[in-house]
Amino acid sequence: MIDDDDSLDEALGALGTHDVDDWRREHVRLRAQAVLRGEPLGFYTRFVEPTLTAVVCVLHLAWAIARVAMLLVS
Amino acid sequence: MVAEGAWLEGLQRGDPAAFDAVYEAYRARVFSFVLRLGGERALAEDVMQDTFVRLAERAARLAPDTDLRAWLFTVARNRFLDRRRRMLFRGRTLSALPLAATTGPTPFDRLEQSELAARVQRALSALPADQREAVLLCSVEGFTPAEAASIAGVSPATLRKRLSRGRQALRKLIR
Repeated sequence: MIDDDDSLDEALGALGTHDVDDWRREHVRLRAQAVLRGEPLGFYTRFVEPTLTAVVCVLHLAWAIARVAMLLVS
Repeated sequence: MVAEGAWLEGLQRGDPAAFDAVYEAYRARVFSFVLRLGGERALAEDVMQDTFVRLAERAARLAPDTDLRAWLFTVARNRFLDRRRRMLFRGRTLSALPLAATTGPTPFDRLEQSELAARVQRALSALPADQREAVLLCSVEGFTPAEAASIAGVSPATLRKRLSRGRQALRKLIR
């Protein structure tokens, strides 16, 4: 058990820092830099990525509903 | 802080080098704070991204006396709560959020470099979320109680109470 504030501060000081992976670090930096320059988001970010995400979600939902329906029917 | 003043001026001009300097200085600290607050790596990555994109969006409009570090932590904290609320599908206060894992070492624990750090992390995870936030802001990140209160959106007295209770609980939990 830690009895005093100094020991507690020492223990909390033992916590290091964590960081994101290199790809994420660069991805965020480039995206923020584009925003800083006032550039509009690219075609991929505006249309392709959300469309793909929506398609995957709809397919997943349809699969889940079909599975539940099959279980109820059988 | 001299460097922060120069960074702020650079950001207001839209200087990419100033953004990079701020990003390098605070990225890991913001990410670590959110990771310890919520215990979820994917969420912390998203919040870190939101925070620095927000900085880029607001750079030109930052007040000359902005405390960049406090500004970033405030945005990160608010984005964390927004995302958690959305994930939970209903609004809850920070204190009502479920606790991070409290038993046994988690993958997150294993990221910590030392045994002591892992024990401290587990103890932090066991604290109520509002106390954990106060301890992280003041005792880990070095904010004053007044600064931390501003970030957390509570009065300094409330923050001090949470900090005191959190530190007291931590002392008992870290064995």
